[in-house]
Formats: sequence, C-alpha cells, structure tokens
Amino acid sequence: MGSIFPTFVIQALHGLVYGCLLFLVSAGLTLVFGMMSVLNIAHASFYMLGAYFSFQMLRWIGNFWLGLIVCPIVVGFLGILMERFLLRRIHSAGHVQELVLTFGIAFMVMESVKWVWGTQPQLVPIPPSLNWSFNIMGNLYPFYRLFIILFSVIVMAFMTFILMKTRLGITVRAAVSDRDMVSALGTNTEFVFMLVMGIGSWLAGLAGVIAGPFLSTYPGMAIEILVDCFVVTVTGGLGSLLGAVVASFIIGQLSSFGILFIPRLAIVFAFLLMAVVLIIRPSGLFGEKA
Amino acid sequence: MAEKGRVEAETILELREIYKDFNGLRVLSGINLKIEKGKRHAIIGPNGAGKSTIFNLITGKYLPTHGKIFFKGRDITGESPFKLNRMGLSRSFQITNTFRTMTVFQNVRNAVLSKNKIRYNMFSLLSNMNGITEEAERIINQIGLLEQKDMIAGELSHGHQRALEIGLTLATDPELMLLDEPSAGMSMEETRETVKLIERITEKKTLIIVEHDMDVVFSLSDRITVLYYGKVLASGPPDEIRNDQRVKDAYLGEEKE
Amino acid sequence: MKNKGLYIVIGFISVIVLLLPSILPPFQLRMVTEIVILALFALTWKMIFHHAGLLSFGHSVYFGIGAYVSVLGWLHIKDLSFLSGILLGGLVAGLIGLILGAFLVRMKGTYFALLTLAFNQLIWAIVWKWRGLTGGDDGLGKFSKPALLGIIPMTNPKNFYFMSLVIIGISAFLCWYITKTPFGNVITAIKSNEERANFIGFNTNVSKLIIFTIAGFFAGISGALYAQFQEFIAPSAIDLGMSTNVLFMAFIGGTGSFWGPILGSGIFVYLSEYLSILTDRWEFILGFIFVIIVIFAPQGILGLYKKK
Repeated sequence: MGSIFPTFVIQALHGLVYGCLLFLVSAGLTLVFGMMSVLNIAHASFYMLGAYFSFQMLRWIGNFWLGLIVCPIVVGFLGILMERFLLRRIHSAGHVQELVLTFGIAFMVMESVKWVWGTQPQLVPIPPSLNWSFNIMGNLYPFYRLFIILFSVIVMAFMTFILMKTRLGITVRAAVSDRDMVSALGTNTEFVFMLVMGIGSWLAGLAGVIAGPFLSTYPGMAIEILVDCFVVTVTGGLGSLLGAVVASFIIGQLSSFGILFIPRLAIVFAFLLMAVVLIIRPSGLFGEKA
Repeated sequence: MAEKGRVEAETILELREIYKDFNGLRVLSGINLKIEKGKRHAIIGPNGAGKSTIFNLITGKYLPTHGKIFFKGRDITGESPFKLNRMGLSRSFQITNTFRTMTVFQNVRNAVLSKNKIRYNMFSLLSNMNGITEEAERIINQIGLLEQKDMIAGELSHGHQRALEIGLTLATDPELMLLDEPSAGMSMEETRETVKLIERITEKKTLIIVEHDMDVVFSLSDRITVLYYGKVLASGPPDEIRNDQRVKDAYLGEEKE
Repeated sequence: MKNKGLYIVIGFISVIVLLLPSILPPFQLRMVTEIVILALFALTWKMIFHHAGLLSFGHSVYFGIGAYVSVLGWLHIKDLSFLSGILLGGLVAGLIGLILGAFLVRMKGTYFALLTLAFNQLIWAIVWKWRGLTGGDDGLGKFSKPALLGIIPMTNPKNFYFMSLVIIGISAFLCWYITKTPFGNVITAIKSNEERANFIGFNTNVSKLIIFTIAGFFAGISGALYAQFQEFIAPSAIDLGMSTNVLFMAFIGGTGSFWGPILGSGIFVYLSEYLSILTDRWEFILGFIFVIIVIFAPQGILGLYKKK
C-alpha cells in the first residue's frame, strides 16, 4: 500500500504536466476552430516549430529564457502569415479545401524540419537554473516538470485576464461564439481572425519551447499531439476554453495512467473517451449545440 | 353549419401539448393542433411566432422539449426525417433547399427514385430507367418547369426555384404536404400561379401551409390556426378567423387584407 | 462525332497499354505496374471524396489491412490461391470499412476527417506493436506467390503486369459503373444536399456507409496486390505517410474525373522514383506541389485541362 500511493501521485503529476502542454496547444486550436470552423492541422506544427526554434537558439546562443520569449513570437508571426496569405485565399472554396490546405502545410512543415534538423530526435537540455530534482514521497522528481505546470498556470491566468477583462479579449470571445453577429456590429473580423491565429500560434509555440526538454524534439511530435489536441477540442467543445481546460486535464491523466496500464496503446483511452462524447453529446462537454 | 349526420373527421396529424425551448428560450408553449385529413390548413402568425419551428418539429428536424406528435395515429415524435417521408409526410423549405448542383430533372428524379423505393440499386443503369424518367417528367410538367428541366437548380430564377422546391415535396407522393412560405419573395403574378399550382397538386392530399401572404391564406385554406408568441391564439374556418377580434388586434390589423 | 474521337483515343491507349511489356525494360515495367496498382487505391479515395464528399486522412487503413490480411493468408492458409488471397484481403478491408464507417459517417466533415486520421494512428500502432502477428517493424515477407488460376506464374513480371491490369481494370470499371446506377445517384444527391436527401426519404447514413465499405473493399484489393508486387509488407503500408500519399495522388491528378487517380498515381510514382535520386527531401517537393495545386488548381491537373 505504501509504495502504490507515491507512484500514483507521480503518475498524476506526469498527467498534469502533459495536460498543461495539451491545454496550451489546444487553446489556440479550439479558438480558431470555434471561430473559423476550420480545424487548423498545421497548428500542431507550430508547436513543433516552437520546440525546434528553441533548440536551435539554444545551440546558437545558449540562453533558454531568451528563446522562451523570442521563439513563440516568431511562431505567432508565422501563424498570422499563414492566415493572411494562405488560408484567407482559400476561404471561399469551402471548409474541406481549407482543411486539406492546412494538412498540406503541416506536411511541408514536417518535411522542412526533417530537412534542416534531420529525422532523429534532438535532445534539448534543461536549462541549468531549472535542472534539479526534489523529493516527493521518497521519489526524486525533476523540478522542470513542475516548472511546466507553474508556467502554464501563469500563462492560463494571463490569458483569462486578457479574454475576460480587456476589450480586445471580449471581442475575440464574441467572435468565437458568434462570428456573424460580430461582423454585423462592424468589427473588423479579418483583423480578429489574424489576431486569434497569431495568439493561438504563439501559445502553441510557447508550449513547444517548454515541451522540448521534457518530451525531446522530433519530427513526429506534431502529429502525435495533434490527435490528442483534437480529442481535447472535441471533448471539451468547440471554442470553449473551459472545455479545453477540463478536457486537457482528463486526457492528460488518461494518457499518463494509460501508459502505466497498457503501455503500448495508451492512445486507446483518449480515443474511447472521445468516441463516447461524440455519441452522447456531439457538441462536447462545454460546447454550444449547433 | 349543420353538424348532424356529418362523418367523423379523420385526424391525420396531431400535436399534443407541444413545447419547444431553444437555449432556455421558450419558443412554443402548449400547442395542441389537430389536422383533418384531406383539408388545407394554414398556420399564420407574426415573425418569430414559431411557425417554422412547428414544421421542424413535425418533420423530425428538431425534438420537442415536451409533448408528442401523431401521424396517422402513430407516435412520430423524434422520428428521423427520412422515416417520416417514407411514411407519407413531406415538406418544403422556406429558404430554398434544392440540390443546387443538379439539374431540375435530376432533382425531381431523386425524389421519384425515393418514392419508388429505389435507393440501393447498384445494378441497373439509371439512364435506362424509362419509367422513372417519365414519372419525373410528369411532375416537372405539373410544376411548370418543363422548359427548364435541364437547367442547374442553382441557376434558376427565384420563382422557378420555389416551384422546384414544391416539386421536390410533391414528387414523393406524400399524403401530407407541409409547405413553408411557398410564395416567399414572389410577385403578385407568380403568387397567383403558385396558388393555382398548390390547389392542383393538393387535390387528394392534406396540406399544411405556413404563409405571410393573407391572400394566399384566405383563398386556399379550409382552416386557419393563428400562432402568437408560441401559443395558439385562435383556430377555425377562415371566416371565423377573419372576424375574430383577438386575431385582428394581434395580427391581422398589421397585414393588408 | 465526339464519341468517335473518344473511342479512337481509348483504342490507341489500350494498344499502347497492351504493348508496354514488350517495349519497356523491366525496371520501367515494374514502375508502370506499381502505378496501375496504386491507381485503384487513389480511385477509391476519390470515390469517397468526390462522390460522397467525405474527406479521409486515414485511407491507408484499408489498403494496409488488405495487404496484411492477404499476406497472412498466404503465409498461414495452406494452398491459398492467388485470387483467393487478394479477395480475402479486400473482404476484410471492406469489413473494417463497414465497422469504422458505421461510426464515422455520422460525423460532420471536419470531425470525419480528423477521426479518420485518429483511427489510422490507432490501427497503425496496433499493427506496429503486434509483432507476433504482423512482424512489427520487420514486416512480413517470404509468402507464397501462387500462380494465377494455378497455371499462370506470377513471378513473371509481364504476367504480373497483365494480371494487375485486368484486376484493377475490372475494379475500376465496377467503381465507375456504380456511379451510373441509382445508388450512385443517391451518393451524388447526398453530396449536393444531404439534408434534402434525408427529407425526401433517403437514409443518408446508410448510403454513405455502403459507399465507404465499397471503397474499403477495393482499397484492400489494391493493398493485397501491392503486397504481392513488393513481395513484402511493412507497417509503412498502413501509416499516415501512405494515407498522405494517396491524398496527394488523388488531388494532384484531379478528383473530378476517373482518369485523375491514374494520372496522380503516375506522377507520384515517377516523382518519388526520380526526385528521390536528386534529393533526400523529395517529399517536401511533393508537399509543395500539393499545396500549390490546392490553392490554384483545386480540381487537380486534369481540372485545369477541363476548364480550357
């Protein structure tokens, strides 16, 4: 009995860490999906780019914190470019074409990454200031993982503040929940689109930067997190940040404990959850009914 | 109005204690409605009164929050639209909802195929099915679109689109037809033609029609139900409704007569 | 008059196609055979996309299952004939299509697409991890290559080519034929306006499921043939990369016509062969072409031709 509880806590912490990363990436995904009705497959690619850019910066400059600030901004900017020059062009052709396009872009990003950095995973060193462990119930636990949780919570709080208290944030929320209404009210929806894409991509890039040392950096990381993020988005409900929080937490725990029990196929749990949600409540836990 | 010796009217459709809420907003309250077989029944009321919602409930697009719907004595509450159509219930849409990328002929043929229960046939060549083609052309003729039969539905003029809309509803040969604002956006001339068309095609059928145009309503209907903010305000023969003070106050006073 | 011209062109192409084994050196013949086999795979993808409006990011599931099941058949079932093995692969793939489809076809476009991707990942993971059955990463090889109908040796590349031509040809013909039937018409109607199709009495979920199953069956046939062609099968046949490949093939060739998939397949096979000599990252170029086509020529190369 004594040895199970600490293991349980450690696993739960793993799940929490992954859940935080999931949320950071899913938040942007669900906002864009809710607002534009397009699931941006390349969104997960921004996550990957954040990780790779940070890796590269570390190689050149050796400063993690600078990378933490700069790389997500670069990624956010790329997101804006993608929206402005690629997605917008194809908007009139319909959702299906948009989806196919984002898929093509995601593919190209993955291939580019392989081109520049090779196909082998890159080990990203944990910054020395965060590279220590402490004792949890007799087990040594890396502080970096707690850092991920703390950092994510700060970012979440910051975002919540922006979305709830600033005019910009309120506009974004309105646009996500009823785009046509907002447009009718005279707001420049194109600008809001670009902004949401930018912020979402920035968040994904941020997640990538801090995930690098934790999960290592490899070309397949985009697709892997994409599936989980899709599950989070569907389960939590389109456009619902609260849903993304709750679902990220659940999926994080499921993945973590799933790996413990069925190490080979942990993906099954997330899957089953999503399937159940889709059958019982297709708009997700917190989504609005169509 | 001699009632004695009258044959008991057959109810083909009944709405019993129907309530519908949308996101907390109550759109329909306590709707009770009996539609008599073979008659033409109009539902009128100001915008937002719930007319299209009733159609959507009857035809299975939405589920009532409370209450039941009976068709030919059978509980059809929440049945899928395709099942209802197969049972003999067919509807048109207020906003034209045709197969826009297909021709008029193909549109009508779709419905004709369904009516003939030809849904999964992977063996016969469609081009050889002459019986189907004839039946489709007969209906196209009825709705007056023979000249346009090879035009793409999305490119039709508004009036023709509305005619096709009715044609699709008719082609499955339903017992009960529900027409949702068939004369929407039409000129006086087109409206007159549409009324004649509706009279022709509903000869042996039951019709429920939602309309804003009072000329159409009063020239076509055997019975009128007035809806007001989700409740039935009055229900009866046209003369009764015309003279009903409550109705006049609430609604008819705003419309040109 | 137009018909006559068309028949002449078809006749001409047919003659060339039949003469190819005599004209081409073995390596080229092998490539053409591969193009033919993959063309059916691309055709099934186009079928569910263009006709039923279903965008699938995980189509390699059926191709791969067709391949693996037939190979397992040839490995473990004594004296399983060539055609029976192919058919077995197709049938099981179709069955999987039926099972997955029952859940999938109820979903709206974006959800459907992402769910197919998720299922692809899941099934690939199963195939990859289940070493005992599938050989995992090492794949399966050394399975029998029975003579067709017991007499025509499939080890001869020319025979193999003709056999592929016949099987793919029949399959493609059947797929084409279906689109000309009342069922094919329902599918078109569903793509045009699914809601109205429902309201005039069609159970659209069932119709979509049927076409999805048929596509799965033929994709499986293609996969089984591919396994015999390679004389080897590995998880790469059922992974996301393969799903991406078929997506590219269908789009680049053109999803609007029946010739699109074969053009796309041809372009894909040639590009992958020759570009990969030039550069390691030929896939990037492929992706780039794909993106350009999606933006500027959504109907593919053939679509551009048609517009003129």
